[in-house]
Amino acid sequence: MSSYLPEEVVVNILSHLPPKSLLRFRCVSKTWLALIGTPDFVSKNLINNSILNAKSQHPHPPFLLVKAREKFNFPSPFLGLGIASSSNGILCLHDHIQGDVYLWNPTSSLRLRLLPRPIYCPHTKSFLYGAGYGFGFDYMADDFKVVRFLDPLNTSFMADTDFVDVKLEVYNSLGPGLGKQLDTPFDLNMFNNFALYVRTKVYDNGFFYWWANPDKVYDERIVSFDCRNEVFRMTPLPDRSVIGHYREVCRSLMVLNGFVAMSVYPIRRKKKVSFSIWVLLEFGVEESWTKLFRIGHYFDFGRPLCFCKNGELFMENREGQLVLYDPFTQTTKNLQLSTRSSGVQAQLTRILS
Amino acid sequence: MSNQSESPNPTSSSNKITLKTSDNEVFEVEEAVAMKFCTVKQYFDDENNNNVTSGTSTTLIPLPNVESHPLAILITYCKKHLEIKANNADNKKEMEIDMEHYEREFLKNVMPQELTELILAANYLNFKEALDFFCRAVASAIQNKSVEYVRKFFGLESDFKPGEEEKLREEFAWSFEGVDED
Repeated sequence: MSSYLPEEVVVNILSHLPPKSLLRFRCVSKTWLALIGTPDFVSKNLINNSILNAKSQHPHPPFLLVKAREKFNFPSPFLGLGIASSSNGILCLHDHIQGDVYLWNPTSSLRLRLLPRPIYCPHTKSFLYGAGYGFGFDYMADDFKVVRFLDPLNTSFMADTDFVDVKLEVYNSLGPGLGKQLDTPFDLNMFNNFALYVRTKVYDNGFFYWWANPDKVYDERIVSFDCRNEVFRMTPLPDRSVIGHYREVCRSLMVLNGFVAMSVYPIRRKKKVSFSIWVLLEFGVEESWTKLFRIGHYFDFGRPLCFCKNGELFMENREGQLVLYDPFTQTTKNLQLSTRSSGVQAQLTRILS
Repeated sequence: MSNQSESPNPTSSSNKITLKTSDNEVFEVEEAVAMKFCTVKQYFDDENNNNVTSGTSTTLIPLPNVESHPLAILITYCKKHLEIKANNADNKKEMEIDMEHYEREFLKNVMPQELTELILAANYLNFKEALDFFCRAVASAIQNKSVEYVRKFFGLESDFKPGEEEKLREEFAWSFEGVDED
């Protein structure tokens, strides 16, 4: 039944396979092994292509750089407005003093929705405040979703408290104002102390991802939330002996072509900093963490922000300017845009095409 | 059999082209369909250049590398492809949705083993859309399969020395988890 297929046809077939299948099929024959290659990021082979190349309809939507400034197009007062997250060109803003949440389209200045303020919990006689937010787009429902972790006021700052009342809610931006409380398979307290990491949450293509801190049961890990099916999953990080202890290295959460990725670099800054990029080829499988590349001794390096396309990386240099780094040519391009403004984090977001 | 009423240029599609397969079957197809097969188009253009005098009507094109079974399927696929394109001329998204729907239904009637035959025919005819579609179909058919299944599917044998394959398997052992039964 088998007919000989020309090599270019075999390459065409293999180019549609995910990394997991390709890594397995390296064992088919020597020819296939040579075609597929190894995940090292710099070779032009099938496995790297599978990791790097976007498969979506609009592979390279434009980016929008949003900076928080004094003069927001909002009616005041906004006491402590910050950018919680962004998705498809819509920003989720969070007033961390008043507790309000806004969805905002920066290109139209239109405020989309306001979530209810913190809720009084009669059981603990305290107000529940949003301790963490996730924000994304549910393609099936054609609607944005906001996930809010509710935490009794101030307890997240008190190290010795047992937080028993942390809750998680999901809101549809078009739906009724009441959030739906979800049961989670783990202790939500692990989402506290977000500040340990540079970039702690990211949204991509229907999934939220968060860092989660170590607790009694688990070491550090990444938690994903499927926006459509409202299901949580988690994956441990690579072993500390491999990537370094969290007290010594910064990790920044990113997404590369649908895969969870992270950059790892030392907290203690020397003159020259090198960092490595890891990618999780299959969510839920710790062994599938793969070190893709290492950027050696980049002298002006501030921090990595997010992947642009085909492995190109947006970074911030030490002057706070936006830089595009191409790992293949190891060259950088200064985009002449300052990411800093009033000490508030800027956000790069993809615009819905 | 053919449905050309919704073709974007009905005037130019009245011409028929005759294709003759390796097993001596003769297919008469609309010009618009035949022109999607780049190999046929090339042949047709060359012929036309060579004898400008003969106007239209029937041109017989031999296809010594294509059998009638895959050609019949490719013609059906091609007609449907053109029809969907014509029906959604101004809406790319709708077209993609219709095409996806058709392709899903199409695959229900095709055995995975038939796909290699179709790929070889589409490759010879240089019918890019069909070739890509069949390649995607093979990819999704083998995505969760074992190495042994894939070898059998492609007619390949392991040419590794003893121990080499085991070493490769160990390197990415996780990728062998959760594979379908053959």
